[in-house]
Amino acid sequence: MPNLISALFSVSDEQLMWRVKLQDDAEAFASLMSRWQRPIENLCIRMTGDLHRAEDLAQSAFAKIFAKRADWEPTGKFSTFLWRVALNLCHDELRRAKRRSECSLDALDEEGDSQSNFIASEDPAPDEQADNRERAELVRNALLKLATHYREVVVLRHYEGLKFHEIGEVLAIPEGTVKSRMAEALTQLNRLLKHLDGVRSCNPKTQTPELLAL
Amino acid sequence: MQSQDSNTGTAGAVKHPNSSEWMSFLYDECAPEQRHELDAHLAACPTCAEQVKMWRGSINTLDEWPLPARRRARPRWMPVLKWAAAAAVVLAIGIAVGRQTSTAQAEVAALKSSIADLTAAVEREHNRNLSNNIAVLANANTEAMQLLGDYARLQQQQRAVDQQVIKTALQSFDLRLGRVRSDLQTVAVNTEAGFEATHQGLAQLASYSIPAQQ
Repeated sequence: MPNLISALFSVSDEQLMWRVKLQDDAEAFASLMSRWQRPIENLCIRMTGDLHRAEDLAQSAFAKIFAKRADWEPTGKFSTFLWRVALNLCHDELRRAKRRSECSLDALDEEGDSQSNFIASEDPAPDEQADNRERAELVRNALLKLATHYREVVVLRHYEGLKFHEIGEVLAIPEGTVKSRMAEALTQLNRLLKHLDGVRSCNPKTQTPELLAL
Repeated sequence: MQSQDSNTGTAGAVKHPNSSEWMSFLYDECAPEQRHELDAHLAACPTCAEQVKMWRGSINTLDEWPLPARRRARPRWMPVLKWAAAAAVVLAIGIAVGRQTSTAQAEVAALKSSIADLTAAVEREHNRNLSNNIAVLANANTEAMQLLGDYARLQQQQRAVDQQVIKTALQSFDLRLGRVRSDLQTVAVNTEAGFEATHQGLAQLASYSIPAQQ
């Protein structure tokens, strides 16, 4: 019931953005940021695998939204617009990183080490904690090895909880294509995880070869 | 792509659901009836069961990469809380020091005595107020009774006047009624005489005959 009441009286994202567009309402924009900053940061973390870069990207996404407030048309959901802007920034960043060869496996491994310091844990026993960290690192690496168009579908559906049709709207592709990509991504993840697990258990120092043509 | 799409369509007599349908199934986005059908198919088809199990495995593995723990912004009420805690500590110390340094027994006795005086004074004041209030109430009651008597007398006088007026009006009405009746009788007599004359005239007219011509 309190949810219902708050939903009845709360201002929608679109109303807030309308105020931003028409009146440059800084308070409305702050409300939008407080609602969406965390989800957008999470998206960027999953897409780039890097916390600090993700925070910068999320900031850039909001800056871009504010800069383009006059161009915003309330024909669709604000969130769709925001996801799209953030994803495009992630794509640009990944392309830049690829050009700088930051996406090399060495770099990934180094990032993994630094990132593992941030991994949340429920303070289990040290052995279990180490095992959890290893598994998390494995999953992160596998996800980062997926092609971007597969990764974004997995991130939006699995981690961000968007429905398949909503992902279709964000990416401007048919819902069926989203589902096909999701199935293919899960299949590739299964193979990658098996391989990475095998490689790790045989020789932890061995670098993981690129398994898939991205 | 080695997903369920390779099994789509009829293979012999069995029609396998495609990967899109399985994605809706796995992420709980399909209609209940479709879910029943897919459940039934899954129970009967080892190929699809294997495929779905693999996808489920990948989905479960994704949850092993938790989000990095981020530093939380310190809430704005923290300084307030800090000062409140400091005030509480100072208060507690003050009370403790006060207890240690006071001549407790004498103070308590003096306090008790002053409380007793205060109670007596309050009681006296209360009783005085009560008797005053009772007197005021009695006066008000007498006045109200007097007013009610006056009102009843006025009502009675008014009723007598009304009755007199009605009686006079009725008498006037009777008089006019008598006059109207007498007028009506005169009209009736005149009308009867008129009828009689007309009757005679008609009888004469009926008995009139044209004299024969010479």
